Amino acid sequence: MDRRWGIKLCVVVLLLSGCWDRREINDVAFVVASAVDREGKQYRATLQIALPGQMGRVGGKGGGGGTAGRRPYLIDSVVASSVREANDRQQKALSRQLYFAHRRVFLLGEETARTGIESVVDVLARVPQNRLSSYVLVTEGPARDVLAADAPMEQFPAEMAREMAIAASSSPQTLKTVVEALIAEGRDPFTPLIGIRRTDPGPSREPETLLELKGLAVFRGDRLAGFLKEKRAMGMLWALGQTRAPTLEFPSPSGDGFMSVQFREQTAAMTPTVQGERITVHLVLRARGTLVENNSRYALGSDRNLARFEENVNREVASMVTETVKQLQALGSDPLGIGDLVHRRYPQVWHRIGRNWETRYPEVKFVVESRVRLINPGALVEPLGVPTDVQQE
Amino acid sequence: MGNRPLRLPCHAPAGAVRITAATQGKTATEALCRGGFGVQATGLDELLDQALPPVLTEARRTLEQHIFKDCADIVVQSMLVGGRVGGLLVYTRGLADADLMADNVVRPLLFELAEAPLSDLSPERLSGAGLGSGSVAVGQTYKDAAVAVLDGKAALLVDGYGQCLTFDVKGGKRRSVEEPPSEVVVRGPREGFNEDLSTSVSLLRLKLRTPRLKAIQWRMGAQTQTRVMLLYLEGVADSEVIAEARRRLEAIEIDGVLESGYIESFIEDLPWSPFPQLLNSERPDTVAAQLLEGRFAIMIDGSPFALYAPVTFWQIFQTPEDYYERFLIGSFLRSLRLVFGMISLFLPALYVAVITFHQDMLPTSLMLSIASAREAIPFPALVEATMMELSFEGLREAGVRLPKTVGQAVSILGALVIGQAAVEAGIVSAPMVIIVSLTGIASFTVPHFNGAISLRLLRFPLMLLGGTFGLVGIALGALWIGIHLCWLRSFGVPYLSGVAPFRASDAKDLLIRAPWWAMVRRPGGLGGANRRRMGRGQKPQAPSSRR
Repeated sequence: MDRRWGIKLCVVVLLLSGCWDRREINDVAFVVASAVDREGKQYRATLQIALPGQMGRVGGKGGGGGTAGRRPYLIDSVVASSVREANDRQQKALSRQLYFAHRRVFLLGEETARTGIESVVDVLARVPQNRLSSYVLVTEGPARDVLAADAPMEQFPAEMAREMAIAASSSPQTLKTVVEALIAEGRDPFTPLIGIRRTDPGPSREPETLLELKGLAVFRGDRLAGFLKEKRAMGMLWALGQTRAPTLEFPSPSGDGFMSVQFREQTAAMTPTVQGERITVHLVLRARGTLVENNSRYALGSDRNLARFEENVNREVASMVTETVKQLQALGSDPLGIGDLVHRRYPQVWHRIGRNWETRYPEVKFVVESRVRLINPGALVEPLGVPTDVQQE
Repeated sequence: MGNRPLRLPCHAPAGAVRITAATQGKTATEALCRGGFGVQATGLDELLDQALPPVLTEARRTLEQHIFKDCADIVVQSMLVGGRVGGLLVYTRGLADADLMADNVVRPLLFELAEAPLSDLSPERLSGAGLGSGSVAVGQTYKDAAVAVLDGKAALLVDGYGQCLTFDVKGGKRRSVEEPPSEVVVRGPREGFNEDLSTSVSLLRLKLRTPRLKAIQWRMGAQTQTRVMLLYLEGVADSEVIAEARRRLEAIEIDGVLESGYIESFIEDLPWSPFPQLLNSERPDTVAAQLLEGRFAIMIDGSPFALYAPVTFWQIFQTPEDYYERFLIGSFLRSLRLVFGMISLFLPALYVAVITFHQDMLPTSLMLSIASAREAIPFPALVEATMMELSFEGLREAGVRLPKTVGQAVSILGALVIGQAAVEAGIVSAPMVIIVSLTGIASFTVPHFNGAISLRLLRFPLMLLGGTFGLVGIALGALWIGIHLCWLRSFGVPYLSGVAPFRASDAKDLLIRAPWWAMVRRPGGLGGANRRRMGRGQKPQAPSSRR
């Protein structure tokens, strides 16, 4: 009798339960990227939604198939008083359910970043469907326009933005790291900065828009403090030890050209020391360099030449990082986590000064020391086509 | 031994073959030639029990007109024994070897005994006279004569004596020893059992030349009189298990045994389990290896498939070649089979669950390409998967039964229809075809057919669970299967033996196959006092000095 009831119960459970929260893959609108812009007191939420039907199937005709030339994504933006409300309004114009688990890129418009990201990040971190592993980027100008770039290289502009977020530093900034930095005492978040670049194919062709990695955006608390571009961005990555095989140009010691060096295995070590009221941070940079281009007549063949050039390189690297740190201090932004470092090393000191770290931070003294080694002059020891006797020492 | 007491099969299917109180307790041999189950009484049984009459004509009439009435293949032939006394030679055409009979029975009777005194022609004397090559026996009743004749022997009745002589002149055509088509190996012996029990057992005896190899014989099947043999290695197998096997075998009463599957269904522990509790093989080397590990085997006349037990779940994934090839290869292939076995069980269910509930579990680009492939598909994933799996099973079944020439056409048709046309027509999606074919391939990697089919069967409920409850459902299904496997026993030995209960020494031969010199002890759980099977420290080493 028991067994019979058990079987009946199983059948009933199977039949009645059905698949009530079944959500087929084709009932779902996959959001691949989203952007938030600030418009006055309101938010403009932009979504980039993949259209699988337009994607065209590999090696097969028939089925969905879209008209040629249509992009496999949809971009829509709505203004509302909160991001969530904007999304709900967008949902009303969609036949499929918005699904955020595959959003891997999150763009913050410049204006949003300036007015504070805490209110925006809240909705992202609160709902589990939003992945903490999605990459966060700040855009130059409105994020909506960046999201709407052509980016013909990838299937979606989102994909391009994602690749840029990964390429920006060796440990990419995700929602998780940004939230961590927001929560942490004595550390500010930073994100890659992207913008739009128009291609220049000459007069005969229409230019297209691409995404471009413009530098880094650094925050002060949850507000954008400023942008670091070019050498400054590079300097910050050096200070963090997060470069991805960067190439730097150095003037040749012979003074007649430039030499390019690519660096690998770059690390940085920061040690704070507190003496009385004075906080000093020793920043030691290490890397191994390979000469990748030399358009001067300076030969690295001899040890003496090599040492001289190494010295030049170290001086340049150190000054680059020093300049960066100075700018960071001027902006009042601490993405290097100096406060955190002091907190860990000198908890008592931090207890005293932590509360007014913002005023103490610009007073921190940085001692930057570069210990870069050149280990490989490349496949050529001496410049090509220059007679040995003419080569400068 | 397991904690649970051994049990007699109590779930044997009800029906015509079940034991009746009247016949209970009698051995199969005693029930010989009785009307048997479901046969109308014709008075035959009573007739068979009668003693043979001394008058030959009476015996002849009874044999021809009553016992073997309308049996065209039974030959009742008159002859003169020693040229003087009437005799009756009875045999079955085709079963008795004509040459053997001529040489060993007819010629001596007709010529060599011509000079013998009349008194020497009594069956007792004749049996001692060196007649025949095989065994000669004396029978008293019609039954004795009839049984012998039906078994392929020749029976001789001599006028004036109420007895018969039976000569072993068995012949009959049987398939020769061939390579077993169901278990092909790249490396290993190529001979397989055939339908003749004597030949099959002799193949086994050739591998195990020891008096410890015991073979106990029964006759089963009231009408078929099939010889059934229980084989084991005394001192290696657990005597309790053997006793239990004997008990279960002796309780069988059935009208016919045509394949070892008949026996299997009577003696397995849990008939409702999808998993086989006895495995079968038609390879003497496989069966010999099982006996050496302490298991027993059951062989029957008329089928090349020998059963062996107690078995564990892991044996479903084992092939003889695991042990013949070098251990790294054996280990790799075995673990591959395990992985593919799990794939054949879970893959469609996982796919359905992920597609219907957990779209966040796949990488974005994979998810999008699946989504774009599914864009035009009119069915939900569960329906699509069930449809495809069923048509795949149908295709496989059609291919198995059909003759080779037609089978090829079917497989081409199936591949075209299911693999291509259905995708192009937008009825099924290409990823689903990949999943189904991967599952199909995976299920073919499981070497034991009855094990593979049990995994294949369980796939469908798992798919249903995956399609209704998502991963939670699959987890529940897997849990249910796991609990069932933990609970299942084969002749009292836990089905997951080695893992649950865990035995470290057994791990050498479950998921991987350790080198032979490392497997010093037989698998545990099979009982047997002495588990050592080789000397220790036999790992080969290169000599330390170089020459």
